[in-house]
Amino acid sequence: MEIDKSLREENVQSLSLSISIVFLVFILMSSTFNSFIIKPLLRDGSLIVHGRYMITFDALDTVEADEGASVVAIGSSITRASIDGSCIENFSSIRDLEVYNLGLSAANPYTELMQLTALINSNPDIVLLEAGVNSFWDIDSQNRTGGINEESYIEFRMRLNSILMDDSDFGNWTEIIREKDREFLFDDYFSRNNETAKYSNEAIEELFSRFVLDQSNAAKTTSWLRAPETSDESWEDYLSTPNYRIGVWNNGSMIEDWEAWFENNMQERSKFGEFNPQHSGTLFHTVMEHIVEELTRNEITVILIATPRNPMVFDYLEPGQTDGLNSSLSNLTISDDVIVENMFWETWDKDEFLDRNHLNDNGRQKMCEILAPKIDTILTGE
Amino acid sequence: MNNLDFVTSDYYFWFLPAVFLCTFVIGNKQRRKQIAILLVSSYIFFWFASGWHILLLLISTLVDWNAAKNIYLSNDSKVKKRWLKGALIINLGLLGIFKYLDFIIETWNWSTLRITGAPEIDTLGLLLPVGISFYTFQTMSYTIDVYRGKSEPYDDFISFACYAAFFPQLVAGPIVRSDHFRKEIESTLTPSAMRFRLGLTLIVYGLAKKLIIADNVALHVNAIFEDSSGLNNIGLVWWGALAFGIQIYCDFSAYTDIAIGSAHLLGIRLPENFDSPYGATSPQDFWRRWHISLSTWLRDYLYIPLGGSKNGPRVLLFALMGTMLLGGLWHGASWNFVLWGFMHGLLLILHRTLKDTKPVANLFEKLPRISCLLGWVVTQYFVFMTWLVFRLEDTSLLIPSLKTYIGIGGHWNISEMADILPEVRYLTFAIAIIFLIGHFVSWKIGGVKNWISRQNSVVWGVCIGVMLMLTLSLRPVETVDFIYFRF
Repeated sequence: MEIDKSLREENVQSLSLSISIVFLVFILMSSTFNSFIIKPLLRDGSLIVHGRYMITFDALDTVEADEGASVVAIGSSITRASIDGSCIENFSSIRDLEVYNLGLSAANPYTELMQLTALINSNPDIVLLEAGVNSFWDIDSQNRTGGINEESYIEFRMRLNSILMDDSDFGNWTEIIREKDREFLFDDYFSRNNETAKYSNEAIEELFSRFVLDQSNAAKTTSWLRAPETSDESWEDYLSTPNYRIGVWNNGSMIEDWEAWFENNMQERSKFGEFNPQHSGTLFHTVMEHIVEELTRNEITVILIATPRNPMVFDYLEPGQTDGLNSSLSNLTISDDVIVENMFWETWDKDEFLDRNHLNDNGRQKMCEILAPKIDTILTGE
Repeated sequence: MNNLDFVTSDYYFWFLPAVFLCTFVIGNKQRRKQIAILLVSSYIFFWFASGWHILLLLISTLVDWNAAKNIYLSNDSKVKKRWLKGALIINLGLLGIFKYLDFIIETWNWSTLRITGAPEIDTLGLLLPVGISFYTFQTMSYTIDVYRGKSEPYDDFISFACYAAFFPQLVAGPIVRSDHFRKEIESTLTPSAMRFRLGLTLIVYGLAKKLIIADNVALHVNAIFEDSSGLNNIGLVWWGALAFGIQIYCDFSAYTDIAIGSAHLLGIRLPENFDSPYGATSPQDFWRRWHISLSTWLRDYLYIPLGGSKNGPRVLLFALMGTMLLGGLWHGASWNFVLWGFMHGLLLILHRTLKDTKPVANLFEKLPRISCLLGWVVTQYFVFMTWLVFRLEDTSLLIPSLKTYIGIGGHWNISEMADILPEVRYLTFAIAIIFLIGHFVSWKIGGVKNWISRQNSVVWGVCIGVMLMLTLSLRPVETVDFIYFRF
């Protein structure tokens, strides 16, 4: 009996040392590999088309470290194309103001919900929250335009966000996540590590290509698809003023081409969700209400921005088709800390647009001149 | 738990630790309880792996338990023979129905349609029960050994049932002999630190082979053989044959490593199944190194009863070819497996015939190193050629592929290779090269896994940690089923 006992004790001692070393080596190596190989390759567009999807949580860390007044813009590519942070900073009377544009292509309120805890923890003074006609449609019953599969996109974004998050980024927003999407939320080290590892093979292949064949899938450094590293000099400028997309219908396309495009496409696209906001009761409404409530509860002012659209769009919309926007915005105005900037009904010039939805340099300049004084007013309290 | 096998996390996070802890806590003093736990856990494992097919395992177990007991107790040779025949008929009958009946019907339909134009008989669409080929051979060998007087029956049913169903090797071997298993469960079932570490080493080593090598290479194999347009490209066919050879070895030997490793954690040693087969310098040498538990089973229960090597050259040829044809058919109910067995039979016969001729014998005597190298090249060339036959179940693609492999009518086209192969290709080539180097090193030093398990805690911890990290990082997104699950 005693021999048996001592054998077990000895077993446990030597085994626990061996197994501890296994865990140590495993965690050290996988963390190093993920941080220094996979994540940079995701960011430069080598492994995913759009490296910008990687910036959110790093950007919020930068916002958190910012000791001055800060404004964070959240939304889709429409936000990305609308906000020129540097321009607003220059127009503002507040010296140490920093404006961060975190707009992401194809984003919707639901995909941006995951950053809510991190956003609150970063303690911005104002959040510019995109709340346009595309923010209140019903993904469960309406289709999206433009060939994007909304469910696949949600899965992709949730998986990618999950690997960028840490435990402190989770909050009560998880209760809103649909049952079917919960499997894409990775809330422990091992499942996050596992998800990151899915990019390993492609990452090593990319490195092989770079070093052996001198070929790369990375987006060009000037490309709007590529995001800089946090250590890059351009990081903070990029967060204020991202490199904008140029000419969707080819550079310098003629206005006639636009008209042809509208004629061929808008009739059909106007039927899709993003041009048919609901009055209430959709998942996006629930998400927007939760975001606004949580931000205001944490004393963060929210500016709900319904951006303008290319005036050519209105030719294809039925009367009353977008009325859901008004009631949705009205329902979200729950306190004095929520301000609505509804520019959707304003008629902007078509020369201020890159395409049907996105502003160009002229449009951004105009938006900047509208927003800067409003931000000043809120921050100075005058 | 929906499915349970060696690549599911449930196996490593719940099932194996639970079984280990139960047997460990109970301790060796209550060995019968430990064996009972192994039996119950084996049935649970099989239930999750194969569902109601567990009934077939129970039938095999009961039949062979009773047959062996009655054979042993009877003094009448006729009675003994009757029990043996009965057991073999039931075992082979179940195997025949579930594995070969649809194949027989399909072959019948194919031939009658061409000869008489007769209407087809519907196939039964029976699902192949997981592991049936393995446990049937295992329980049959027990009854035959008792009949031959080489072995005594088990004293208690639980131990025998555990032998028939022991979960680590139940689904894809190694095929264990009854005496070996009996000795193991009669000794300690609580592993020492060294054996525990050896078990973990084998499990991690097996997972690395399966998930890093076999599953990555499988993506290339599938791309080549599922798109027949590249089968006249010599580069693609060669790479396909080499890659499949690597895949099937790493897949199957990984299963064996994990099985042996899991068994070590439960205090049971299982026999080795592989010994660097791609280092073999002759077809005979290959079969001493490849799927050893099957080849020795075929030798003892088929080759020798068919006449073996001591009854003249004609009987030898018959025994060799018969054994290899049935060995091929054992792998699966398809003509390509029969052809695969036939080709290996032919290689063994050629080797037997040539090795005794004067020029070959002289060459081996005068230039042993060069002739060994030559033997290795020729053997492996043909071994990899037979893998083409093994992989290509569509017989219409077989002849063109074989022609391309030997250089008849094929062409080289690098850009076509690039078009057909998956996007991740340099990594896969690198993995294949590392495997081949590792295989050579393993052949030289007698097993990398054994070397790792002998190291001190720090070196061992670093090796296993690195392997684990690489395994979890480099595995493809989709895990490929173990190839031998189909057999």
